Amino acid sequence: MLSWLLATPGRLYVVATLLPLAVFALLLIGGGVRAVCRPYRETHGFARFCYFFLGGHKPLKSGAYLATAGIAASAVLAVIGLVRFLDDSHALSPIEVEHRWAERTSWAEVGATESGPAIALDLGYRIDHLTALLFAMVACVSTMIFVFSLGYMHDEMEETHEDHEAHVKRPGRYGRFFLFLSLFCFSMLNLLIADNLFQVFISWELVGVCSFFLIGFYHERRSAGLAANKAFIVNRIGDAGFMIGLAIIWTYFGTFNFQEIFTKLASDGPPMPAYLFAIAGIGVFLGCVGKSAQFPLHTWLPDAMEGPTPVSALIHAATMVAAGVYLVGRCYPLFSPDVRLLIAYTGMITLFLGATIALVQTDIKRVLAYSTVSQLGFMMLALGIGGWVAGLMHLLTHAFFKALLFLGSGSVILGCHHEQDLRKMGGLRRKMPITAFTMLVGVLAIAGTPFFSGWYSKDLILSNAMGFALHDNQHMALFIVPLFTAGLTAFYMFRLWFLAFTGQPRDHASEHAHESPLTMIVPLMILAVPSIIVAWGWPLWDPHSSSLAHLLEHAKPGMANGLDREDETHLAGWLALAAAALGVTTAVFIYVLKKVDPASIQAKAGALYGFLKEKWYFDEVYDAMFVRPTIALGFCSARFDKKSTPAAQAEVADRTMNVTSLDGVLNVLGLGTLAIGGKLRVTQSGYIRRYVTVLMVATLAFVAVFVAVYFVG
Amino acid sequence: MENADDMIEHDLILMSLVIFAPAAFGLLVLFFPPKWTEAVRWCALIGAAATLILSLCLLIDYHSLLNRQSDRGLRSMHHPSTQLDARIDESMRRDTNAVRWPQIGDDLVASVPWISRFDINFAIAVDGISMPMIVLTTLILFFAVIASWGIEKNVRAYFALLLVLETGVLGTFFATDLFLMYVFYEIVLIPMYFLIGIWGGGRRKYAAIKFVLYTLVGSVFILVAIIGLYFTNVRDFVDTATVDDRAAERMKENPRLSKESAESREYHTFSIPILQRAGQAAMLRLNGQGDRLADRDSKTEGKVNILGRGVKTEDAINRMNQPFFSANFQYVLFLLLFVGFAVKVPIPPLHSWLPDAHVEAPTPISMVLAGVLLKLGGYGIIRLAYPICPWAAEELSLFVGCLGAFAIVYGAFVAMGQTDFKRLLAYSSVSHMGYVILGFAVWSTGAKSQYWAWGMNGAMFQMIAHGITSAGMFFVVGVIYDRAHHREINGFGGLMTTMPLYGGLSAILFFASMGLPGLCGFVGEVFVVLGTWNYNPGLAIPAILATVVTAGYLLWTWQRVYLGVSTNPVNSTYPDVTAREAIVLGSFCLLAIALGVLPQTLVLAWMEPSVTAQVEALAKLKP
Amino acid sequence: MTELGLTPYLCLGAFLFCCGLLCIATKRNAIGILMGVELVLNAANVNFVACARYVPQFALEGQVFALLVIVLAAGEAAVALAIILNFYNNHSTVDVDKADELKG
Repeated sequence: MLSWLLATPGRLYVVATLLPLAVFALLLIGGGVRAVCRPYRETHGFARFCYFFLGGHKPLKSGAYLATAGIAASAVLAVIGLVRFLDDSHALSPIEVEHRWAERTSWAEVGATESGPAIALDLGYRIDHLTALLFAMVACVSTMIFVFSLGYMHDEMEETHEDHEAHVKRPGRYGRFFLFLSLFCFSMLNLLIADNLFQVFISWELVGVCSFFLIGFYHERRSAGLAANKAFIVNRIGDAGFMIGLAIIWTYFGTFNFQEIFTKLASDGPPMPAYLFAIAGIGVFLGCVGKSAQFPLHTWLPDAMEGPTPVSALIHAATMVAAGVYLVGRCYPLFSPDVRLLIAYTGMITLFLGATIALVQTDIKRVLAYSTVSQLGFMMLALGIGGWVAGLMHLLTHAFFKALLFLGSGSVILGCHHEQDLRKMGGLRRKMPITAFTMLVGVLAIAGTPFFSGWYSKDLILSNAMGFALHDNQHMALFIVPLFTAGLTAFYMFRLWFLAFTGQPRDHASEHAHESPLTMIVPLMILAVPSIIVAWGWPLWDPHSSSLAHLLEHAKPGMANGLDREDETHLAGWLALAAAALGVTTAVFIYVLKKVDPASIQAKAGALYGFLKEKWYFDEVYDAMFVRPTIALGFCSARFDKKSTPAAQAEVADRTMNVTSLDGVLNVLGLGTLAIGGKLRVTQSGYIRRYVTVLMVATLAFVAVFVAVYFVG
Repeated sequence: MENADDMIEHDLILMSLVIFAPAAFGLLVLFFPPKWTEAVRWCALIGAAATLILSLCLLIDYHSLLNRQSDRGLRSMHHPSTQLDARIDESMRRDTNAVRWPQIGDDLVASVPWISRFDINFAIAVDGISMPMIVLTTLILFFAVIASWGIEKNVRAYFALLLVLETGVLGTFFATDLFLMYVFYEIVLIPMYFLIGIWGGGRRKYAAIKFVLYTLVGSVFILVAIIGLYFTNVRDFVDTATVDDRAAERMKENPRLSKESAESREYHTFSIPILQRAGQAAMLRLNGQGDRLADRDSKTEGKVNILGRGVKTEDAINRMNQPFFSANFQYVLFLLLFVGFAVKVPIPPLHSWLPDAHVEAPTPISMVLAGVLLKLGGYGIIRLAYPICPWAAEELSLFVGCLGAFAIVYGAFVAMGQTDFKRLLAYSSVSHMGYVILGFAVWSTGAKSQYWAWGMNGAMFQMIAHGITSAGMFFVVGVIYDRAHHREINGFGGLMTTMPLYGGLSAILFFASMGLPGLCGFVGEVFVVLGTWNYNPGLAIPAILATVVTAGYLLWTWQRVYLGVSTNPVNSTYPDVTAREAIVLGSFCLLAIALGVLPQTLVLAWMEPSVTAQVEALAKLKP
Repeated sequence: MTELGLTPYLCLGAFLFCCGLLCIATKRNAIGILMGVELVLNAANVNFVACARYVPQFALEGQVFALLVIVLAAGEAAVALAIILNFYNNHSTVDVDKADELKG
């Protein structure tokens, strides 16, 4: 085992990936055995032993510790792996690195014929700078979030937990939470190390299903169930596009391996018609649109906030939603210039959309959710305009500060006894100082304050956008909108912070708020550090010399070179800073100095306010355009297929002709036969004489016909 | 490898045991006193378990057969001599050689004359196409017996019928003789009729009659095709020695036979491999490539070696003026076989019997119906319709593919509109079996034939996966039906809270049915879709988009049944699954996970060589 | 004496057959119908025997079948009379028109 592990350094990553899976399997088996034994605990000694050994009625704490230990071990391995990989990539040639840090094995092979060997679907890993960095980030952030959850999910430790929203009493589900988190970590890490699209797709769906279960964690609440379904189905739409992309790639490249595809592309160009290449790119991108909550499939992400806050932090802010961005970066050569433009515009629309809606939300988690949508839009935009490094760097920095912000909001929510409405908070700075301070770090980072990590990445994105826009004037919007949105971002983030932490408590919940326990504060403090320093480089004040950017530069696909038209004058950076400053100032005016009453603005711009408050009416429109028609179509097809009848009338219905449904039409065949039989029945009179006469006449007729045919013919 | 003294055909004994062991146990339970219901159940369980174990032994045998010929290279399990056609040919040669060589006892091919006047044999064999179906059958039946523990009405007759049903299904999968296959195929019908008609729900008689009538219509189509096949003279596809042997025998039996009819050397058979060769020759002739025909031992490149040894190509071509080798006959034959089996699959619009039968059948019977009986249809198409009429199959492949894609989409939408849990599952079966049909249809040749191989393998895998998930899902419904005594989706709610273990296990099956990676449903679907794009993107896109609808209706059901809080207080009093139920559900879940994670090791390794070989044999008919 | 040839025998057979058939078709009395059946059978017998005499291939078959028919006729008469008796016991008549329980 150990020798297998040491044979190739890359296997470190395999172990780090599989550890959470092992934990998941252990927890699953343990929970399953306990549940099976539960009804027999009174009657069977062995069942009793198993049941109480595995925790009995109370949720098992050790499972959560095991899961945390598992992911912590993964994080340690990830950091070791990162260091060793950076060493190797310095010292060794690319071929040697490839040899030491990539392996694959076939998962299914089909089609070995005399004319050729089988084509195989592979599983494998390949580590490059991008994977190594993201892997370390995911593992470390996950560890922090696991530790945080140990405290945050403490309610679930109770033997009977009362859900105040759904008004039910149920057993606590502490273990189940960590079970799904572990599975999620495995899937996410697997997604990152995958060396082929197929493996990415597998992990893609798996993270989706983990997200489904975690959003629906409080499944007694109707809203949670609906949100979970929405998330999964919307993602499925994206995944259908992904699948189309996969099918095209499979048909024309015959492989899913990234390196093989890119080599083929680099040497011979796309082996298919240009439009198909574009469709393949759009298909893969559609998958990313779904997962990264981009317009028009962004509607699921805010609803996903129904899940527990650590889930929002881990899955719906730091890692899973970023997977779409990661995949766009990974598959970069698959996108033709047109598709890249599409990506850029999608990003632009999304970032604006998200920011505007975030302006007026009052639920602390929803503000953060829309800010996530908006930031993901920034990343997509960057990738679309050729800023490969900028987009992925923002992905990394955003993961840290957004996880921090979400965990901070979790701390606030717990402190305020599950109150999430910003309007009822206020003055929490004194009651929860550490939370307030760490969240301020996050807010400063996301607003793009100099020397915080967000500044470096956002600056890079905007200077890329400016370069792109200057080069091609008709795409000026791609620079103006993000610039404006940078100001909005600063405004709504500070609005959140001011509303929550400054002023006087506006509700008894915030009056009786208290600082959270150590297990929750320590992760906050730890996460605050990378939120500041992760993108530092030398000189510190030059955003373009971030060391993170230099590391990412190594992983950049060859074709992305020369696409980035970085603006060297730092003008974009200064403009962004100005916009952010403007945003902060406005926030200070409105929420601290109270020069302007927000209510009066609401009253003046009532229609706009309503429009934003209702999230641009996307949900309503989709509901009317897609959901209802689909369900209606379902019921219509069901009616077309078969007319259902109540059981009482079934006997009659079976005997009546009914041609309004497919089943009815087929039944008519049977009923018709029955009717003809009924008519023919009369001829069976029972009189022998008649039978014999018919027989005679028929025979004579036959003879006559034969004779006639014989003589005439 | 062979031992001349070894005259015992071990494989005949083993295969016959697998086929008839269930029926034997079924008869045995009839001799129990009526009061011993518990003993009857255990006896049936032992019977089903014995069959399962025997079939697994057979699987190991088959695996070692492949392994013996393995060249440890890239095509390690693909040795041509392990193919069914080659093995049966070898067996026939041994049988009719002037100095009869002993049969080999481990080639998993066996034939015993049954009605020799018409050359009807009790001919059975296994290969990679039938083997998975056989194991699936024994597996599902084993769990169905466990699931039948709650049956109280006339227990002896119930288990006897169930086990006889198993014999019928297994026989159909084993048979390499059309007549034998047809007989077994029909045997399935009778127990099923009674099982639905006696142990079913409120409208059981209606459902049972509907099931029988629809299936009988299909059977009639098949019967006509079989008769048509039998009346074809296939002497060119059998070794000349065998034909001479047969003629001499005829002369000996009937000395008054006129010289000409004895000399005409007509050869009629029900043997599936021989008919497959004839069909392939028909395809070559209709494509104007008759000159590519060559006898089996010929080594020339680019030839199709399907003629019997000693047959001259020119003579064979000259003799191809029978109706069998005409385009119309091939069309009719294909349509007869295809439609006959399509009823069983079922493909819309011939699926109307399925929802009724499912809704009325008791839980274990629904499991068998969805898990096993539907596979008879798919098996018939891949075993008979495609190889025997390849020309028509190729000409009509777009039509077949469209039917498959239509079934996928139509089934999914109709399922969405159901309010009865079981009926919803019945339509989801229609939708999932559509992938099977689509996978068969994606005919491609030359280097692209690999994509067809993906489609075919995907279709086969989808049959296995659907067998497991649908049987599991029907059991899921059965569990809740036992408690609630209704199946209205809207009447449930909050079961995840009330019955957490049940909810957890159901979740795995739901997602397996939805095609989540890592679970069995995914493998088949993705193989089929990957194979389809190459054939026709217009078919691939609906198949892909239907996955969204599938997720839609399954998750909607999931939400209504398991999530939330039930408005009906009764729902919160249901006890969680018992150990017996947990074993069945857990086993299905384990199978779903195992097949989803390790498809290559568990299934593809031994299934794929046969399926791919069939694809290869058919694909090379049209370069 | 010259041979009569096959034709007269066949004509006789046909005549007998027609008589029998008419008898079956017109009689309402069960005994009468039975007699009609006997006539039909004997018409066949005449043909068999005649063929045995005149057609070489059927030399043996014709006689064998004639014997078979005679045996069959005897059996049939026994069974039919038993049925008629039973029928008479139940309906106090041998009028076949009264036997209409199997009417569709």
